[in-house]
Amino acid sequence: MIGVDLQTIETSKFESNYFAVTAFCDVTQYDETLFKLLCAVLKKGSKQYPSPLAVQRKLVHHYCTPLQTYYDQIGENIRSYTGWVSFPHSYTTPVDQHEIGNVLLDLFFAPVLHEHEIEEEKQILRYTSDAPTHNLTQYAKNRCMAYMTGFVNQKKADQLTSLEGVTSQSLYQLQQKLVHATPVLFQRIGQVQSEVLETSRNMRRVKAIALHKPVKKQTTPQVIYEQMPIKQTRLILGLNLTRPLCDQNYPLLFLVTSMLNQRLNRVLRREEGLVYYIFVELDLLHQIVLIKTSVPDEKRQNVTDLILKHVESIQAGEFSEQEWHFAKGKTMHYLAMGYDLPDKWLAIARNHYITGIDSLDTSYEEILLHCNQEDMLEIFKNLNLHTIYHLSGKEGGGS
Amino acid sequence: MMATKTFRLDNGLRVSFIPKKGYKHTVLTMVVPFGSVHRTFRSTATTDDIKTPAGLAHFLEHLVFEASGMNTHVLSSGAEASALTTHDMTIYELACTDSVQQHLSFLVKGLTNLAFSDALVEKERQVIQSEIDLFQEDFATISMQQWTEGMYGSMHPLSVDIAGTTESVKQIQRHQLEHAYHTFYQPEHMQLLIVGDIEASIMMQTLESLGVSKTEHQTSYSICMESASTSKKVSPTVLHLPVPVPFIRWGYREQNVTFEQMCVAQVTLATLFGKHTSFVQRGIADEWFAQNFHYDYRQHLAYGYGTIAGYVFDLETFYDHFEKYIERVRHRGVTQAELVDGKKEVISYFFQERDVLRRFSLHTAAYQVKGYDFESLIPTVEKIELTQVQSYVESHMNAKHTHAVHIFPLEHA
Repeated sequence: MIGVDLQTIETSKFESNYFAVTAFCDVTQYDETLFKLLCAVLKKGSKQYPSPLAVQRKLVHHYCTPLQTYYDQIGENIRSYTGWVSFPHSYTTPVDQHEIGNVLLDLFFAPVLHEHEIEEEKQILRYTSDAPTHNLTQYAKNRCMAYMTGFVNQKKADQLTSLEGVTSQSLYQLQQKLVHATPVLFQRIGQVQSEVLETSRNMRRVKAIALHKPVKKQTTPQVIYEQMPIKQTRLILGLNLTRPLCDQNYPLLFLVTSMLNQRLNRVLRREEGLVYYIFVELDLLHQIVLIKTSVPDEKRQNVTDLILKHVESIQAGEFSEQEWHFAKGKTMHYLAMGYDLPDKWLAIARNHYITGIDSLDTSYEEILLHCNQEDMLEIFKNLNLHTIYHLSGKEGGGS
Repeated sequence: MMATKTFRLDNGLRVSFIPKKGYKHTVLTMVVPFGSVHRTFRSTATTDDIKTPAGLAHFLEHLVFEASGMNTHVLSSGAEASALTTHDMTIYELACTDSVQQHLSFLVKGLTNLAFSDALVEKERQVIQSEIDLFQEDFATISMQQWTEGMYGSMHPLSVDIAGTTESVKQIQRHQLEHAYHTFYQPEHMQLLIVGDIEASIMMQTLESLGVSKTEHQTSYSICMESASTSKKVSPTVLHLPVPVPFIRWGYREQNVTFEQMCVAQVTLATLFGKHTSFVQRGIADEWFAQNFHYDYRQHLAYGYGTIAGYVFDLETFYDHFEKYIERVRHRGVTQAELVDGKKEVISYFFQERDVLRRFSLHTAAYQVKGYDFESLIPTVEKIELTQVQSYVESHMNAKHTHAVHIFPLEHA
């Protein structure tokens, strides 16, 4: 049996257990569209449960929520695909965790790749490869990230061309290469029956796989306009960190995010009433800080200028003692919350696996308690404005 | 299952404690029984019904959030604050990892006895206009709004967006906001939920130490609901929006919904349209619809409605299979095994929702405002029988009670 990297987080605080399996693909070695297609087909079933219906029925039999899957981009070259479920750990009688784990793992290791299903998924990819989600802010954020990570380099036409000629044989070869070349990560959070799965599969305790490459520095920020028939421009400013993070300084990037968040919210939302919302979000995996807002076209330039003015002002150390203490408190709260949310905890653990940054323990508390303003500014000064992305109703964003 | 403890304070505020061991954060939720459907109401201070423009409850939520200093309060304490208006309630929520007593004190005292300046009203009016524009670009929101309008008629409060319309928000006046505030934002009408790793006795001591006392003049209110139109739109509502392939929302309505009926509705929808059903998996495999196909059940006061929604590749093919499926269920019913799987899906989601305290708190509040108990969901679901599901499908999923919205890509316009 092929090896699986195992992360187990035992906690009794949750009433459900959470199992997630993630496969990784280096798109400099393998075709990305092919990987996307493989991911779409992987959920179609395994040798033991050879259809989506059989998989979902087996899962619901064990009180699992339906299988959820998502595709993610990690830096410039790595893509990941995750399937996860949750189930109450003891609703009537304890459920068979061994079987649930195997249903998930088999989808990755022993998939069924039927020609007709591959054709169906190709068709769906042709329809939906660049379709917006219903949440346009999320869509705009994904597009901005795509521009930052080089994800948009492959044009839709090229993607569709690479779908032609794909057969079950070629997909099977890719699946075999992937599960052999790159570890598959199996994560479990909850009241876990450890011994059963670990003896039946070649499980190993994980170390960071260091697949991750941060986004490259941009000397002049790229300004992107994309058009859609909408009234409000979705404006996303992407800043990337140009120095490496480690166990000792990653909480400082969260601190930077909190500092920006409170300042921009206070000025743009509360004092000026210019926007309905403005959020600053940190993507630790890519070491990207994203400032997200939605703004009527006529206010767009004003809002962009104000955001940049305040980013520069904080970078120059212009903030009050009160702002500093508020940001520290907020960061402490935010990081503590990660251990109370199952999906966030899974993401923290997955980040640890990919980047090697160990945020799984609570050392962040010590770091935040003892850091000073210079420590934070040191990180902040290495944040570089990379992309200004607009999803706008007007061509070229013109007002 | 944990035991919920509920008390009533001297000032009439109802407080419920729900212990969740091991959590680092606590969620404090203040529930005000005033939502977007409460357009016409009467308080003890008036003899006539007060009719208000759409979006008043949501506007008030903005004002209270700002005027109470909720945002400043959380900034100084590292907590998170949010507010939300639904059809039948407004909630204010604080999630904190320390100083729970300080936050509790703020929430209990900070939301009442506020005043709103003209400048604040005008600033928030602008912000709300932005918010309305924003949600008008979300096709899931639009499809639901258009569906309720087709189902209930354009005059019904459910049909108007919770935030109101650009026109209705312009009409909202400060005195209307103040009147609603003084009617509904009274401790005797409000409810506080505390969810986390907490000791109820310590929290009670804090609450008692706040010296909350009864308001001088007790207020009461009554709400007048407009009834649902009996002449729902017959033909589907058709829209053209930036979607890649057609999107459909189909659903049915019901009235005078009881707790048991709501549970039957959820189990029926999970049994018929859960991801584990052959109908859904065959639909995805044969491209009658896409992976994002899902079902949804909502209940606001006496009105309940269930919908299914998602991308469809070809409307005719979808309807052909869908109608045959419903017809078959109506005549033959579902099997015991299918019903068991439907119940299991509802149960699995129930447990998942309880692990995220904010969602758990929101569900509990939404149930309580209807007079229901979230904890009773599972025992009630367990007792549901095949005949109830069969009868539910027969009585609800027919042309008399259903409506659909079809959204086509712009190039089809």
